[in-house]
Amino acid sequence: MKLSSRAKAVSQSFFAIIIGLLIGSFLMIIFGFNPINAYYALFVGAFGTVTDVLETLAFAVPLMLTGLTFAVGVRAGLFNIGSEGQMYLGALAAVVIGGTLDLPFGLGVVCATLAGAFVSLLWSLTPAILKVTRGVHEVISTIMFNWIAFWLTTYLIVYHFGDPTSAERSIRVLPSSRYLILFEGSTLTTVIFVAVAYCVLVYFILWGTKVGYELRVEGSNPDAGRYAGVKVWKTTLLAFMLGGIASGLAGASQIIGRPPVWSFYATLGNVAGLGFDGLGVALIGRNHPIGVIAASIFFGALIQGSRYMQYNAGVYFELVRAITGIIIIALSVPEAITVLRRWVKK
Amino acid sequence: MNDSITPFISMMSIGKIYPDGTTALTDVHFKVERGEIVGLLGENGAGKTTLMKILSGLLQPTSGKIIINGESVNFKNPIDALSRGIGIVHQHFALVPIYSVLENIILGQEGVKNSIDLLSSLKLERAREKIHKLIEITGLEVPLDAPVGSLSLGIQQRVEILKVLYRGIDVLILDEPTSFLTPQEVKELFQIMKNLKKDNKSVIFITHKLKEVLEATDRIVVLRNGSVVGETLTSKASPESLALMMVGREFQPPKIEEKGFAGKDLLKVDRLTVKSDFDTLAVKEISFDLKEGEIFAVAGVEGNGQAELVEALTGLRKAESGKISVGGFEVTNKNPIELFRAGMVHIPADRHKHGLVLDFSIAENSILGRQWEPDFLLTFSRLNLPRIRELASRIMKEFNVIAPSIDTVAKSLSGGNQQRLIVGRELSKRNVKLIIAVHPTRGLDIASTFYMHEVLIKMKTAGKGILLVSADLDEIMELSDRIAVIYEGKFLDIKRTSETTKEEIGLLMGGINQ
Repeated sequence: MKLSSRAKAVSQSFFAIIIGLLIGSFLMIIFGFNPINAYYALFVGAFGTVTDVLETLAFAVPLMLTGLTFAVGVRAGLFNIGSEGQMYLGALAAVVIGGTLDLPFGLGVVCATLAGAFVSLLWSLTPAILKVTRGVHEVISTIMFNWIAFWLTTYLIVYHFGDPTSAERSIRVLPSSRYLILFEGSTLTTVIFVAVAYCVLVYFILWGTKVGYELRVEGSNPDAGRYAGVKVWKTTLLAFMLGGIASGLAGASQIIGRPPVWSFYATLGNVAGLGFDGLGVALIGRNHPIGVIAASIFFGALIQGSRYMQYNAGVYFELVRAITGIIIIALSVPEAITVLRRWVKK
Repeated sequence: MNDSITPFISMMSIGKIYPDGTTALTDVHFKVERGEIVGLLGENGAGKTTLMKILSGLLQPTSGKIIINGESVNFKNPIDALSRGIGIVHQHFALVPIYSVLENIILGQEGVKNSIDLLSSLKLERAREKIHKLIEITGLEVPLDAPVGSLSLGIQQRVEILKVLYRGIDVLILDEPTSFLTPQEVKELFQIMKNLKKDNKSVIFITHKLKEVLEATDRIVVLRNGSVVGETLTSKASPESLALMMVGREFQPPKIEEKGFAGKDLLKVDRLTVKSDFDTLAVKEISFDLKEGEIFAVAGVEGNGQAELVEALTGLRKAESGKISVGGFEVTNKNPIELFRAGMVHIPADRHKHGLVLDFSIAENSILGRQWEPDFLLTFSRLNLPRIRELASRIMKEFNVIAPSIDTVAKSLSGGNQQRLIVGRELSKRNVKLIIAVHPTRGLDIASTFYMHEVLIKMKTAGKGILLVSADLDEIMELSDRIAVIYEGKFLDIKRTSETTKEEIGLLMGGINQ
C-alpha cells in the first residue's frame, strides 16, 4: 500500500508534467513557435552534454536546500516561508567568515559553511519562538523577517563588507574557503555533497527518530499529536531549526560553492529568489527530503535548459519563463491541494 | 387555520441509506400542520437530524416522497426547500462574525450577493423595516447594528432564526436549539416559538430533552433507530412513556455477575470542574471512584459534558479545579505520556481525530502515544524500526486487524479495523491498569461490536478498571457494573446496573430525576 501510494504520487507527477508541457505547447503554437523544437532544445540544454548536466546540478544545489526548509515546515504543520531571508543571512555569514579568516584549506571551508548554517539558524529562531510563545503566525513573521534580512544584508554588504575595488559586491571569499570545482568548466562544486548529505540526514531524522516521528504526527494530525503527548513547542522549534540550517547552507553554497564570483552582490542578485523557488521545489517533491532532491534537479534542468530554448529554438525569454512556470505550477498542484486542504481544515 | 384533511406537509415512507451503507431512516411517516409545534424526540443517531435535513433539502431521501399542500415536491437543495417555505436553523451557525446583525440577515438574499451590495443604503433601509416588523411579531429582540461576533450564542441563534424567517418561510425547523442556551434563554425561545405559532407558522423542534419537549410542543413524534416508534399529543404524554419509547422496550438483565468490588480504588475523581471550548462550565464538580475489575459507565446524551470529562481525565484538556488520581498518584493536568506511565490507556471517541494519523501506516500508528517507550528506541532516540514492525504485526494478529500489510496506510482501513488497531495498540501496552473507552463500538458492525465487548470483559476479568463512556444504553446495561448519568455537566445519579432499569436511565438522561 505504501508502494502504491508512492506509485500514485509518481504517476500524478508524470501526468502533471504532460499537462504542463501540453499547455506550454499550446502557448508556443499561439506565438508561432514549434513546441517540439523548443522542448528538444530544453531537454538537450539540460542534459545534452556532461557540462550541461553539471550545470543542471549546480542550479539544483541551493534549490534542494531551500525546498527542504519549506518541506520540513509542512511536515511539522507549518508554513515556513522564511527561507529567503534565512538564506541571505547564511550567505552573508559565509562571505564574512570566508572572506576575512585566512584558515588552512578544509578548515576554512568548514568554518564558512558552519557560519552560514549557524547564523541562518539563529535568524529562523525568532519566528519560531514568536510562534511558540505568542502564537504569532509564521507566515506573517517570516515574511517580515525576509524583508528585515534583505535590508540588513544589503546594508552590511554596502557599508561594512564591500569590495573596495568593485563597489557592486562584497569582499571576495579567500581561496582557502572555497569549495572545489568538480569539473573544470562547470560551476558545480563539492558543495553538492553537503547539500545531498543534509537532505538525507533530515530524511533520517524525520523518519528514523522519535522527535522526527513526533514532528510528522504534529504536522499530519495535531489532535493525534496532543493525544500522543507530543509537545508542539518542540516540534515547531525543531522544524524551524532544521529549515534554518538548510537555508543557511543554501545561501552559503552560492557564495563559497559557486564560481566564478565568490562574493555577494549588493543587489543580493546571486541568491535572491532561490528561497521562494524552494516552495515550488518542495511541492513538486511532495515535501519529502528525498523527493526534494529529485525535484530540485528537475527545477535545475528547467533553468539550465530554458536558456537553450531561448537561443536554439528562438522562443522569447518571457515565453520561456511562462512555460517553465506553467510546468512548475502543474507539478505543484497535487501537493499544493493537500497542503491547502489541511490548512483550510484548521 | 387550515383545517383541510390533507396535512400541510407530509413526508411519506421516507427511507435514507447513506452511501457508506448505513441505514439512517426506514419507512418514516411524518406530518406537520399549519400553526403547530411538533417535537421530534430521539437519542443520538435516532435519525432526527437526517429526517429534517431531508425536509429542508440538504439531503435527498433514498425512498419516499414529500407532499406539501397535496402537491408532491422534490427538493434538490436547501434553496428549493426555502422557496416552498421550509427553513432550518442548525446547531452550528453560519454567521459572519465581523458583519452586523442586519448585514448577516440580508446577506445572500434579494440580490445582496457580496459585501459591495451591503453599501447600498436603500436596500439596507428597506431590509431594516422588514426586520423590525418581524421582530415585533416574533419577539426576537436583536441589536441590528452590532457585529455578530460580539453577541452571545443565544442572540446569535436569534439572528439565525431571523435570517430564515426573513425569507418568508412557513415552517421553521430548529435542530437541538437549546444545547447551549441558558435556562432563561430557553424560556424566551419557547415564547418565540409560541409567537410564531400565533402567526400561523409551524415549528419543528428537534430535541432529546424530555422536559423541554413536554413544555414547548403540541405533538411529539419519537424516533428510534431510524423509525417512528411513537406519536402522541403532548397533553397525553408523560416523561415515563416518552423515555420508554426513546430507549426501547427490550429489557436485558445484566449478564456478568457482580464481584462485589473487592478491588482497590483505581481512579479517584474529586470535584472535577472543566470548561468547554466556549469557556462555559462543561463539567461541574464531578466526583466518583472506579475500582479494579469494575466497569463504570457514563451514560448521557452527547453534549452534556462527557467529552470534556474524558479529555480532562486523559490529559487533553485542562481541569479548572478538582483532583484526579490513578492508583494513588495524583495526575491532575498531567501530560498524556505521564498518564500512560501511570497505567491509563485511552480508546478515544474519535478514531480519526485523536486515535490515528490517517496518512501514517499501520506500523507508524502502532506507536502513536508509545513513541517514547524505551522498547522502541535506540541510542540518540532513534526509532527501533524492527521492534516497531514486530509490534505492528503482533497487534494485527492478536487483535484481528485485517489489512494487506503493516505498511498499509490507516486511511484505507475499514472503521472496524481502525478501531481494532487502536484498541490493540492501547491494550498491548505493558502496564495497563485503567482503560478509558469512549464510544468503543460507535460505527462498528455487529461482529466488531461483539469483539470489542469481549475484549472489554476480558480486561475486566483480568482486574483492570474500565471507564466506559457510551451513548448506547444497551451496551452500557450489558457491560457495566455501575452507571453514572451525566446531564448538563453533573452526575444526576450513580446507579448499580443490577438495581436499575433502562427506563430509569433513559429518564435520567433526559434530565428527570425521580
